[in-house]
Amino acid sequence: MTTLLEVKNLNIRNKEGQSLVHNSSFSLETGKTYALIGESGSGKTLTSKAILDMLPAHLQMSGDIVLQGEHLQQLSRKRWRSIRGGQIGAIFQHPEQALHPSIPIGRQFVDLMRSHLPVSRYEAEKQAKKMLSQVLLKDTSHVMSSYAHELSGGMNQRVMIAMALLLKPKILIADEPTSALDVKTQAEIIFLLKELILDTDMSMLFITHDLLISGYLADTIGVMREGKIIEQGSKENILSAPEHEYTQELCRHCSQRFLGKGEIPYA
Amino acid sequence: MLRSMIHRLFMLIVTFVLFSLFVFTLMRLAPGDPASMLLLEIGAVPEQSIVADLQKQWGLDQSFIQQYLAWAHHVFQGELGHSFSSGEPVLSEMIERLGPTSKLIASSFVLTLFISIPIGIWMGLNEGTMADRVVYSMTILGLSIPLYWLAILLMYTLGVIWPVLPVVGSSTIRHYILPVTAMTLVQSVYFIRMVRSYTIQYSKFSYIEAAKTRGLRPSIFYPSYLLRSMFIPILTLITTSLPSFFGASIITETIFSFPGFSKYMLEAIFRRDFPVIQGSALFVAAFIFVFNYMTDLLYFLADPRVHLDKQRWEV
Amino acid sequence: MISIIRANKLPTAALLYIILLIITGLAAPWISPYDPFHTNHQQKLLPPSIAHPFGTDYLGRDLLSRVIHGTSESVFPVFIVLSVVMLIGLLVGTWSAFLGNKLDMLMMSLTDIFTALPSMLLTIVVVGFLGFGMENVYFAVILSWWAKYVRIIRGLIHDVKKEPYITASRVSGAFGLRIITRHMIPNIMPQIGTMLILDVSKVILTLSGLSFLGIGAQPPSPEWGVMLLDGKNYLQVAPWMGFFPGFMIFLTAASFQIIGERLRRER
Repeated sequence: MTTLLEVKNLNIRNKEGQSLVHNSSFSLETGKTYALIGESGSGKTLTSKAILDMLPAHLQMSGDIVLQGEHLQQLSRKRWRSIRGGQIGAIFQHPEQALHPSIPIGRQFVDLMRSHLPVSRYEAEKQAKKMLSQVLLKDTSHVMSSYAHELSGGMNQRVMIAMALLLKPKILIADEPTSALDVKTQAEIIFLLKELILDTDMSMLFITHDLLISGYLADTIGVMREGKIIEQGSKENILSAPEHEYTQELCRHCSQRFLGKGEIPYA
Repeated sequence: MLRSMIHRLFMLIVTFVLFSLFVFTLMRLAPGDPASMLLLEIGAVPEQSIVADLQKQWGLDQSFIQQYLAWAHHVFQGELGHSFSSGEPVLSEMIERLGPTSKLIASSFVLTLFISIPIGIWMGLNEGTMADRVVYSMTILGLSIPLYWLAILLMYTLGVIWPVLPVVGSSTIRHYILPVTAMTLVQSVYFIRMVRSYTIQYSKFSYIEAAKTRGLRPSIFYPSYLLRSMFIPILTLITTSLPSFFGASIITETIFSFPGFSKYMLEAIFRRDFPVIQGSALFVAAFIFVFNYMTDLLYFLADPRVHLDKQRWEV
Repeated sequence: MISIIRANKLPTAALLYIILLIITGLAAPWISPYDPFHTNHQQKLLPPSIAHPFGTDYLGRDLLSRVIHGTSESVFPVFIVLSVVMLIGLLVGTWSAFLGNKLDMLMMSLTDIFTALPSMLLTIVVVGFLGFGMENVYFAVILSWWAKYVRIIRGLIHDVKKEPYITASRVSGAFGLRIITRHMIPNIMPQIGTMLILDVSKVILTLSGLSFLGIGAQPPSPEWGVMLLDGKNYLQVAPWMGFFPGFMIFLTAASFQIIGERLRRER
């Protein structure tokens, strides 16, 4: 098992010097899923943005992020471009806000593919359709010619997943991809993600506030609170023997939700 | 959409009628009696009986509304009358002079866009950096430069001290260089500031951020994603600044003795040439209203979700 | 106090300049070195010197004295015009905000016309029909500016109307007009004030521009636009004739612009 991505001593501060993410370190193994759990404002989304170098300009970051031996902070703009989309794909909480509202979805696929690979428009469209059917979208031609606002939330999230996976990235960053969806669609998307990571050797950084979902998807779990990773370890350890008080509370909460039984599902 | 456009068209007509009423009212408020003025103009003695005859002939003894309707009837048929000073039909005189003015306005418009969109986007993307702050401070000063002063300075440096360019007339392309430069410089300052603020605003939109995480090629990202999303505000900017280009053309044409429409219109007020003032004012207003209507149509093409009525009322 | 000045060097300089300008305008008869209307054919078209710092014009008039005397004619009318515009804006804007529906719509369509049309066009129509003379010029400028203030003040009042404390004082039975004058208008004043200051520079440019075109102030007035027009005609032999008046217009407009920008950043 090899380490794909390593985050070392990540610190993020705002202009006033307030620490938003404090000394966080974790690593992502090839083919595995790491779930970062925390409530809103705990710094989990900032961490994912730091990995993509998408932090707002007023935040200062220090620490080291290494992707397969490459120190991401030292990269040129050009190299960054090929990593984003090419090596790291990302999906977000609000898929309809992540797609351009006035460009047809097919065009957005073609633009992505042709930004990274020297392929023809026709070839790019073919690949996009193939990807769309892999995420179980049926009428792919219709989807390709639609605008984001013409599709449902679940469909848009599938489109986003297909787009993130189009270039076969090594890492998928999923930032609360289901929390804006209704329960049924939520389950569908989770099953789809599980299937996709089982099929490929892609790694996933899954960001959520839901212990239940991370228990199902992840191999390793890190619990984040007030900018610090307070506990991390294998899924089994975290779920069955949480050490930190906060994690214990999360587990209790979670098990109550699950039919009131005192055991953790999927564990 | 169709309903909205028909509503718009209706409003366009109402607006134009209101404006024509405004012009007509001012004309009636003008000091001096039109009949005796015309007589003086052609060198005749305004005798009481002739004046009364003319007034009757022109319907000046009728009520205000009746007079307006009679006048509007002529105007809307394109009969704008004859110039007091030259005796030529106003319409044909105007059309003759439209060429140079439209070239002047169109070329400085296009040039302004070509200059200010890249600079504005670049500043917006580098918001807060030293370079952005320096250029931004310069735009504050730039907003305060009077066009007429700038034009004169240009005229002096490139026409007098170092006479490389002609400063009078419009006969060759070289004659356009100084007027277009002056207008473009002044207008660009405002455009750059606006495009900069749109860029700052729009690059924070989540779909633009998300597009960045996909590592799109700059030659695709900037024009098709960022600029495209700014299409509507930029279109609004273009529509709302057409009047200021028209105002600038009056000053520019006067300074460079440019024989265009704007100068013709301005000169009419020194000669108190009422038919020319009336005709050209109605023409400019109609042009601007129709231009606004056309850009409204473009909004629909740009973004299928736009609901015009909500957008317009916002301040 | 000193630290405020130190942090705002340019705005402070601009403010000092404006204060100085106003004093100059008021004290012109006592401080100008020569009579601004006194012609002297032996001294015509002299370049700037110690005796005549701005030079003399084609009639031998001292340009510095003319610029000093021109201050009151070039700058003070702007305050009058903008005061009237603001007054109309406050009255009609507030009234329109409380009218609701039909009449409000009508008012807005009316303002639509005036904001869409070039102010130059309105000026030409008004001056063209009603004749020259400063009162017609002011009328024309007010005509092209009032609509902007009505629209903005109407919008601001609409926003303030929704504030909880306004609703509260309404519920407690306070009289309408009192709420407007005591609470609403003071509330929106900072925003209107900033806008007014920024517009001072625009109106200065407009009014001097009209004089430059021969529509506004008439010779032998030492209004800066009129002087600039003289300067244009003597550009080849006496460039200073146009330079100084133009520079004064620029400096004055820029000072108001700088202060306005600073205030806007504050909000």
